[in-house]
Amino acid sequence: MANNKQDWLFDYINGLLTTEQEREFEAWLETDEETRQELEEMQAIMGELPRHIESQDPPAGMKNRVMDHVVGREPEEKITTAKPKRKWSAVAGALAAVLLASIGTNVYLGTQWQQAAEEREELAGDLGEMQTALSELEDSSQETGEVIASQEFAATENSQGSGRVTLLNTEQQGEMAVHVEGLENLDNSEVYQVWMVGDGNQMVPAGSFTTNEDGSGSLVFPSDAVNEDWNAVAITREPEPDNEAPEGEVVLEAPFS
Amino acid sequence: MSKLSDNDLYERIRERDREALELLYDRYERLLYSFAYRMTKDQQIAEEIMQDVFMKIWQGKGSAVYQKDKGSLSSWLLTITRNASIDAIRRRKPEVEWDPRDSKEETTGVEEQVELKESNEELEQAIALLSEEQQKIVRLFYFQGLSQRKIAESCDIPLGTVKGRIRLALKKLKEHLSRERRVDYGE
Repeated sequence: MANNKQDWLFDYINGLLTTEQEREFEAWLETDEETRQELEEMQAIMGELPRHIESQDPPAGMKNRVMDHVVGREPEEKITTAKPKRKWSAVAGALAAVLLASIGTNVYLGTQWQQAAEEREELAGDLGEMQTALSELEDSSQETGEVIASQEFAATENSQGSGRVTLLNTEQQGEMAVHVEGLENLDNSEVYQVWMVGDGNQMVPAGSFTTNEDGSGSLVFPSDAVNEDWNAVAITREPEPDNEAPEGEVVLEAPFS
Repeated sequence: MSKLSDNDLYERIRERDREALELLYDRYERLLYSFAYRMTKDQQIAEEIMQDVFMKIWQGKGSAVYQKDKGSLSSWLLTITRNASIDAIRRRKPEVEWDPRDSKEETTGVEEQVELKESNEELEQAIALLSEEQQKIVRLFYFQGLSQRKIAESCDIPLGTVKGRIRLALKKLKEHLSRERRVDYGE
């Protein structure tokens, strides 16, 4: 793009500037009345267009689903995880948080929609397993890990699998915990790569993992970047680890705000 | 509470009032969903966008905080819906034209072009009144969120002229729309 900042206008509107460029542009806007007015004018026109589109009937039950998603996912409570006595125990704690959050959602939905009795039994079994797993960690003294957000992965059009990602802060650091199931088996040096997706589709690598023969895999990625404002967490299938930018298609994604 | 203004509702949402969030949802569900659907042409993705948008409103962090001095709440809601739609489009099919209408000019016959021009949608009718190049610019910029550089390449025009042409196309579109009535979304 040209060096003149006024030429960044439409890339700014479409969220295509880097964070640094965006900051520069906004600082410059404060000093340039003409471009600021132009921005407002263009935004006003763009805001008018949707009011002339064809009205669509929202899908049945969408309101409940949206409200459940938004309010049901609120990190109202602090999840207790084990304080790491050994190096791996922080990882175990974060994974437990992922599983707990997952089960918490199931229980919530089960209550909400009165699922069949056998499903409740299955959930109770899951809960029992989790209680066992957590009790194994209770020999450590306790610390609190605050869940920032937790979201289920959804498979994309040409992929399969499911899972959950949880962003949390422990006393030591921020962490992203991922647990997935049902992914396709990988070939040779391939990995599943996790990405934090920012504005303008900026993809920041956040660790990779491989799966077992059942297609299950987990990852805990320590990073204080989890506290930043990400739009989504995505998983791609990559030919090799440590790619700086995705080469493969997105197989799972979890939208965040 | 249902008679509260948008701004009052938003203030209550900032204070974690779930009822206010629901009222705002009821007020804008049809408009925002219609827009997300128009952008993505996919019912499921449009619903995910609705979740994303209302999560942003509820959490209210960073850029997802409404500022009264920068326009109406409804315009802000439409802006974040468009941003979320474009993000969803980019994540699923990066660099691929997603809207069948966008490739019509190369792939469709006269009959379908006529059908498009006879669309009941006011926006589509207004777009059809633009020049061919302006139509393409509007679709690439507004509906696909492409960069100025990619628009220049796609339309085979100098990069330095893209900004002016986007501005002109949008202004022309506004002129055509000003002769139309808005769709009544019951806002």
